[in-house]
Amino acid sequence: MFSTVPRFLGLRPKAPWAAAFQAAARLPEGLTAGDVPVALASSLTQWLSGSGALVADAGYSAAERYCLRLVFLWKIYQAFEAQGFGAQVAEEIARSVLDVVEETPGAGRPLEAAGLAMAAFPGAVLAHLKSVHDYYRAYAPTDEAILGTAGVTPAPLLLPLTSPGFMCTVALPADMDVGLARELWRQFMRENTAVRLITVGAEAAAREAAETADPIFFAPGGGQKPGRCLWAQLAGLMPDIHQWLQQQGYAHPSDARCIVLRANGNLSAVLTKTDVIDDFALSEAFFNAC
Amino acid sequence: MRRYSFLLAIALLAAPFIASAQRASILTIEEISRNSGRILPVPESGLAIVDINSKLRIVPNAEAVRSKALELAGKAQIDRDLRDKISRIERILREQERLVMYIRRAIETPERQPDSLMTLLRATMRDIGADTLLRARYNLYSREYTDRLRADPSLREREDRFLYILGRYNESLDSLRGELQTLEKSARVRFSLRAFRKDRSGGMRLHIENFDLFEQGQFYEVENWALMISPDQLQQLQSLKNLAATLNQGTDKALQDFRDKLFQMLPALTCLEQFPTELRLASETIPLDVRSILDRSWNDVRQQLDLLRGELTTLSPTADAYDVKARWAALRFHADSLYQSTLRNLMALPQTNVHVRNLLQCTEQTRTDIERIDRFLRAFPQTYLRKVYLASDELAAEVLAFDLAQIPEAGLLDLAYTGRREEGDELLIQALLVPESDTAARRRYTVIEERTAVMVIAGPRAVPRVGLMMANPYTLQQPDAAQFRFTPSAALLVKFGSRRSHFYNRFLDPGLGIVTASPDFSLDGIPEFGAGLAATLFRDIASAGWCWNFGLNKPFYFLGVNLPFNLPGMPVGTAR
Repeated sequence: MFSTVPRFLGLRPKAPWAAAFQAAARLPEGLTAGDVPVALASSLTQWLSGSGALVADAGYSAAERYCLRLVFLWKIYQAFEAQGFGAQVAEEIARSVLDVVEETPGAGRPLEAAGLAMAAFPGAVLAHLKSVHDYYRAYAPTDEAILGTAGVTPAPLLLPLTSPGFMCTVALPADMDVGLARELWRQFMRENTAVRLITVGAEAAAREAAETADPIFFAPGGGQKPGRCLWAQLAGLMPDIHQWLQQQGYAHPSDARCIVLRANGNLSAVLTKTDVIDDFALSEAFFNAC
Repeated sequence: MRRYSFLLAIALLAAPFIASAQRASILTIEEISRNSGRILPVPESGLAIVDINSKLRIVPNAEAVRSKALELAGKAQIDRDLRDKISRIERILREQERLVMYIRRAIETPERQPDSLMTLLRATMRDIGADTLLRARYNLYSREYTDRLRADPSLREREDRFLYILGRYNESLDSLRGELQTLEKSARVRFSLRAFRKDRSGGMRLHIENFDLFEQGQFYEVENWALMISPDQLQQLQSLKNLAATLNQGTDKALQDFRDKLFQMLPALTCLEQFPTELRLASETIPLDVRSILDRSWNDVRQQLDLLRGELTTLSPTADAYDVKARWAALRFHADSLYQSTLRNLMALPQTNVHVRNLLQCTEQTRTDIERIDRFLRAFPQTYLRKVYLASDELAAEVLAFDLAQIPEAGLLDLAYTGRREEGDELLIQALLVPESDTAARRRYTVIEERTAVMVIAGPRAVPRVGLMMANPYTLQQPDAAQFRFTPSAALLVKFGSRRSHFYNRFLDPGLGIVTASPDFSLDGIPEFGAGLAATLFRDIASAGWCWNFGLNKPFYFLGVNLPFNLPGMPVGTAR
């Protein structure tokens, strides 16, 4: 690992980043395969939030920050593995490990991390992840209450920042648990800080609309701050969405393809399934909702 | 009926020849008499005759040059290419004009709040949406931005999507200059005039004023060209120029509106004017050191505000160095600093003092106003408009460069300065076309018209002749003497060159003058003196005349034959 064992401070449970890391490693119980992408995105969002706060904590060395970030990535992996989804999340976790390796200066990471990008993916990366976890637990003054447990504390899922492959879109897969999706949808609707877009449907046209809207809402231009998007693919969520649309006075909710909300949560516009949904239409809808 | 058909067929067959005959000449040549300045047209066909000492004024017909160039280059293809290019240029200009119009409308609409950038954005977007072409381009440019964003998400912080799209619209305007230059180049053909003098020893090139430079024994061609653009197309280009000028004015107006709106918004910061007074009035509550900090901070803001106002009054779209946004950023920085200092220092003080409350309110109000102005400034497409302004200005200038031709009105060939020349030497004048793309080293000249002329001494001239005459003293009674007797003579003849008849100049060439002779009619070995009138013909080979023998006081007439070569036993007859 490291040529000499770094002087680890250990994990301070009251540090602000520790809470985010811990939340990242907690998953709701009874996840289905369809829930995994969103749950993983949620965990990684929390983990990223913790990583950001850890960087600002000047007391920690680069080597310990490297170890701490990987320790909690391992714990996230373990949490999914515990519910039988280790293989499903392995690649995304491994990609996050490589991101940490890239972001850490050479002196702050173990010697073997250097060749990791060329090593077998994701197996070798996960092996490194585990070895860093074990090394840190062996040499750092650790709090077993935090590091010793592995994703067994159930917690509600938090709305992730974005799903893998998107910039600001949370995708709710067609096969995910309706209850979980409903919870995320509610969180999304409550987040009255930005212009939002809900794309509904799982068909190709819906995918195209969601993929077009994602970068536009991420960087809308015109000096406007970014928006957020939700792509609800599952049919089970449609009644909730339709009901909300009707409450907003929209008469034909089943025609809706893209629903644009103002920052205050009110309906701004609906692009229907027969509308041309291109960059222009989405940008215009965004600006009209500002 | 059959007879009429036959006539019609004849007429149709003859039409191209008639048209060809009627086709305008490329060159019109006029001869300017050296002495009288009289101008005489030089005939267009055949070997013309010009005076050896005259000036020739060669006038090219630009329209005929263009027609000929088109004919040589393939008219249909060139016409099509030009039409396509012109319509593309027009399309882009109109597109930009619409964009600027939308932006202007959004700024100018009085019922809307001037500080609402969203108003501008929404109005522009609505109008773009109503325009199929603009919408398609918007999508294209937006996708380009997205591709770059995917590669580097931090692009969002550095470059605004909407302004990027406007910038891309702008680039199409930038490309127009190149487009116009290519258009001009492809439609341009170099036109040249050359003249040669041909004599028995060969020929030499002659200088034509306005068409070439003759320096140190070398000829340098003056850049002359004709455009293969029809007057209709030129008219279209002129309307493009007008369009570019309108766009230029519209952009200028939009920038002026921008300045005005910003001016309108700045008075919102007037509570800052009261800041020092309130600070002084609150002196009982606010410690001196805090007052001096706030006073200094206020001064910084005030200074930046004055600078911004000053620059706004001289805002010019052509001033590249000018940057409202940079100045605004400085003002904002100092205003933020004032806000922070005021909050930090005054919040801890008792709020019962009305002046402290006023100061707090003022900084709060200023901060809100600055946010408002900031939103307006952040995405105002000032750079875009400035680029449009400059590009449209350049475009108008570029279109101005288009003219049917840059061919001098006339070329002058002064024959008096063409060196040693003789009557009968020929002049060759050629009109040439060279494709503009050809390099100087490898030019493919095409002679499109050739004119020849022979040089004569036109008008009266005196020619001396010395020879022998066969004199007949018809009143002398000398039965043993010969009727005709050889007598040496010298004559001074007056001759006239013709500008019309080669037969006259080359064959008849008559002369009329006075002649003196020294006959010995008295046969005493002493010659007498005789003088009279003589006429010559056939280049002085034949002559005749009447004289008076002053020695004998008797008349005689004579006949003469002056052959231009020697015959055995015959005296030479060509001495001058």
